[in-house]
Amino acid sequence: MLQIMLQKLLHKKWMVVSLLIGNILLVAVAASHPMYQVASLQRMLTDEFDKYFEDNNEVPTMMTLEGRVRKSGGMQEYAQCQTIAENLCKELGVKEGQRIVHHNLVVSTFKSRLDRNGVRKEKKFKVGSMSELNDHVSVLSGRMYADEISEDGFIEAVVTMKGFIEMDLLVGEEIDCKFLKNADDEPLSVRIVGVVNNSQAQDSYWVEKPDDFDNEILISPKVFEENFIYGGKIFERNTRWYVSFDPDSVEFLNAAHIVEKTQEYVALDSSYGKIFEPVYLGLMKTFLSNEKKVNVTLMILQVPVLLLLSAFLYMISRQMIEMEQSEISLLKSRGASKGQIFRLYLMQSSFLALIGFVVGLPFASLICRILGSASAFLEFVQRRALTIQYTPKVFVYGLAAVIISVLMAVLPALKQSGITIVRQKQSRARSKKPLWQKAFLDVLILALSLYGYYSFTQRTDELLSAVMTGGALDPLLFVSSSMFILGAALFSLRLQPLLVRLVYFLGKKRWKPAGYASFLQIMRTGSRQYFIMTFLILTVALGIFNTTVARTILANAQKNLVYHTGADLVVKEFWKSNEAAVRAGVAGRLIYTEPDYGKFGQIPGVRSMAKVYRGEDVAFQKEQFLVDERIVLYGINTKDFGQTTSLPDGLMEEHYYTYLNLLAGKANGILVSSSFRDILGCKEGDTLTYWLTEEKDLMKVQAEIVGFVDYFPGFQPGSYKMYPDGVPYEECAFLIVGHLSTIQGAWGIRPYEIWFDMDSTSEFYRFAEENNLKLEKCVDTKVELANIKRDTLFEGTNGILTMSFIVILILCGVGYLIYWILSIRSRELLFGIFRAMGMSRGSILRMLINEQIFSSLLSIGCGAGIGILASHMFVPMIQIAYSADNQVLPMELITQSSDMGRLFGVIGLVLVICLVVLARQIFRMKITQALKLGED
Amino acid sequence: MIETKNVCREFPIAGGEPFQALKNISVKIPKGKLTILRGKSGSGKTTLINIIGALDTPTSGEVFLDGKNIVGVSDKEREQLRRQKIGFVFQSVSLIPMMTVYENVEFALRLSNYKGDRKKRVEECLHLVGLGKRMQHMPQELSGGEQQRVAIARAIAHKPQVVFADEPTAELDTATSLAVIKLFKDLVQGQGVTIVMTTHDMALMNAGDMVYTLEDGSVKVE
Repeated sequence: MLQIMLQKLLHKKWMVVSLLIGNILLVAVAASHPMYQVASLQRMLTDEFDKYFEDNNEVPTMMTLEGRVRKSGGMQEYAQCQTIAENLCKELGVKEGQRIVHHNLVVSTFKSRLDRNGVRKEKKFKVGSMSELNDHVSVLSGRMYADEISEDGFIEAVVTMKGFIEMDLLVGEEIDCKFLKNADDEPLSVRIVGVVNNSQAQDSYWVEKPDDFDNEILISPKVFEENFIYGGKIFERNTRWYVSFDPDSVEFLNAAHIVEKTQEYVALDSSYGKIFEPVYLGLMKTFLSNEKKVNVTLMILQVPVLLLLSAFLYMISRQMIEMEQSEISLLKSRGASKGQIFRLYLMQSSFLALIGFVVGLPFASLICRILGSASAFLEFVQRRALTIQYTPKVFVYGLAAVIISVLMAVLPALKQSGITIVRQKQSRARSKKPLWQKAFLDVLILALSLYGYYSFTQRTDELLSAVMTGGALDPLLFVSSSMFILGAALFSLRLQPLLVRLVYFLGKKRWKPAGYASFLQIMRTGSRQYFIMTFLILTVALGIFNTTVARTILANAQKNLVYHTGADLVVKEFWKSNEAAVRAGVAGRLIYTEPDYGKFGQIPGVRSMAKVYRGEDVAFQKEQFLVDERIVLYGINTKDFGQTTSLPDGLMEEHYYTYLNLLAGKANGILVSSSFRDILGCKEGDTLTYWLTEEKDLMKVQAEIVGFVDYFPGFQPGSYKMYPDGVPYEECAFLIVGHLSTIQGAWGIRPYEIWFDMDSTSEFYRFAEENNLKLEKCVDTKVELANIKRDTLFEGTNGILTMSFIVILILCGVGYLIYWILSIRSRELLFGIFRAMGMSRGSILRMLINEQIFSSLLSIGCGAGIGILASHMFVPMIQIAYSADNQVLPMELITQSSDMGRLFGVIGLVLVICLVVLARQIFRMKITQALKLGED
Repeated sequence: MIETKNVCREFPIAGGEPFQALKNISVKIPKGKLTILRGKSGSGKTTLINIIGALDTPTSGEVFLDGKNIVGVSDKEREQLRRQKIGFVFQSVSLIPMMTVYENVEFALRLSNYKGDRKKRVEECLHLVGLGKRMQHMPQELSGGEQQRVAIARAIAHKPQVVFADEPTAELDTATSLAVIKLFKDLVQGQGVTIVMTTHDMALMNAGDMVYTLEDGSVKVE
């Protein structure tokens, strides 16, 4: 049997090749799912930790525990904290980084033995100890303490530089304290032996900075513990444990456990012991909610391409079996049973699927790498590589793909092996309506998807709140869109025969024999082509849908971001002020010192720049309305601002500049957001007063409304908030744009931002570094744009859609070619008959072209139409998942013509190749040989 | 009316001497008669019928149809010839599967650009072969003998000068074969059609008005 199978496979090498392609892709796509999931989520987590460290210069993976021992109690809590601290990393399943123990006694009064101008000072400070202090300090003066009480009975101590100054202690100074006693109740004295400081500038050991030890002397931990903890007497003391772990050792699969365990610890809160909520808890909680979203999104995005791959395998297998019917009957006539034939196909498909498995798995890791470097649709960048692991799940998915592949291949065999030759020949005679058409399955699917669409349009609020609470989009939404595409595809197949019939009857008298024969062919055997037609429609429609989803979500996120930032670069310098003096009551009014603005003009590449004052602690009054929240006040110089910023055309009724010009015309004029008109009923020409809420003594400014704007660079007109019961609502904001000069005239010069219009912001950074600029704020649109692309959800979406698109192109090409070439080959005898009857090669080719027009071209056209329709219907809802909370600009469907070019280019190429192959086959065909085909 | 002169046909064989399928065949086929080319499998009868039927070209020699040499004419002329002056019946079923019996016959008329009443002619031909009642059936719904009769009706429909039948009875049982031969004889006698057929069946040879026996690519004179 093995031999028969191998011979069979060798004989049909092209089919085998395409089945192998299908199998490899199926396994690779399926196995890449868990692989990519693990790798990208792991990277997402590590990235998050790294980002926190970069932004805050603080290790996020640290937990602080505190135990307080008092005369009244706390020993138990201390012991509990100590146990937790020592076992924390083991419990959490992470690699311990460092564990620092900081003990100190409560503040006591010491009396120095040193005579300072006849006075022996009394000082209040703490005695403490830090574990492993020796490794993290350098001695500035004196020496390090010893780990034993000195022979003359002194506890040796060091102080930090700051402590040295603040506590006014000298090296060698000896101090007494009546509370410090050893086990034998003998008083203990302390001798300061050295001054230390941190040995390295950056050292995660110093959670409390050396400067924080301004009221504490440090002694050896050994001495501390021997005397004050295990010495037999209770000293009132505090202990802090700083336990940190290696962020790279956090496995995302373990994240839920870590969060749960940590929350358990944090909940243990008593007056004697406390575990502080660690930074990583928040980060990991966010991660967990994102993980769910990413997981669901990745899964639903991959399903259509997996379905398409399965359909592809089914199609090719069916074709192969149809071609092998004569072989099947031969085998049967030689006594092979139905079961044996079935087993032959089972063996063959298992063989191919296993090759697919072996080749597909490494291929899956390649797909993962590609996915991991996707920055946009069909765009890739170099970034931190994914750590790809072959987890058991990868094999499970791969094997599931193998099983599906075998099923797809065996299904048509199962159907075939039961059919006798007689029935088979009869069934060939007239093609009947397929089952799905008789059962109106297409109409049903279409109706269901339309119902889904309708209910989603009615429930966008729910979609919003789901996304805002960190959930993923309802998978049903994606199911609806896929169902719509499938349903519409099948439905259009219902229309195709009607169209063919119509064209046929319209020109009935005019058809030449070739046209006549081809119409009969399409009309009578059309349903046999339904599969390839469905496949083509799905391919084109999904291709268009995928590109639209990918392009739209990214482009909208980017446009939104550009709008939110306002300009290429927005910076705010650190302004000096007399704030300290005001607080001390020395100065009356807060006065800022304006940094030099003109210096920025020297930066090369700056096209224009503008001062922008933005204040949020503003209130306004308009007749009876007094509003003091959700207000943004802009103070701008209209000319500079207009040159530096822009808004997309068509966003507002008039061009953006028209509004700026309106403002420019009036010194006390203001532009306000349309919420003033819609909510407060303001009109142009109305006046209102606004003032700063934080400084009451500044004057109120009176202004006249000159225009209403819906959008303004950097202004978010409304945002979605949620009621406690989870219902989202839109909250409007109020914008007032006035002249900077007017505002400065009224309130003096206050810190403003500088907005730049420039190509390369690197010049700015160089300038800032050279001039040692202190920046309070610096938002670089390009950097932020790059961050969007790095976002795991975007990256995954783009990656998967890109991968699906490429897979679709491959399937479309291979599937179409193989289907047609084989279907033509199976008709060689017929062409021989046509030729013998005197038809020319040209007429036969024309006949085939005619057939292609009504099957392939029509399908491609339908696919394009369905794809565009599905995009218009479903993309706006899918978009919600990606930008629910800060979508400001109206969403726009984006299709890039280059993607369409690629899609139709490949399809066109395939059609041309197909045509060339057909022509070649027809022109090389020998009639006498073709006719011989029929003689066996 | 059909005459071959010294027709030779060689088939190249990879890495060897070409195989000589026909060696200097010169035969004359009379008009309005049933001529039988007889021979064993591999004797060259199919090759010969393909050459005189303008499906194949000889390596050398001439073939005259109605006094015109059809060797060396363009593909286009040969196609025209096949469409209008020649009809074929093949060993295996050669009907067009997606056309009904009626349409199969009519298609030959469409191809030859038949000027008369096509419907009448199709019905006439199908009645001649005894299938007037099965015009709307699909070929697959007929038996082998019926299908072959449809093929014959199609071959004669456009009133060709000659009908070539290559082993038309090979796949039929004896009774059906005899019926087909009888039909041929009726057509020759009743309609004046010229028919050339090949067969390896000795039982059918006596039916022919003229019989040529082929052996190893040569005509054996009897």
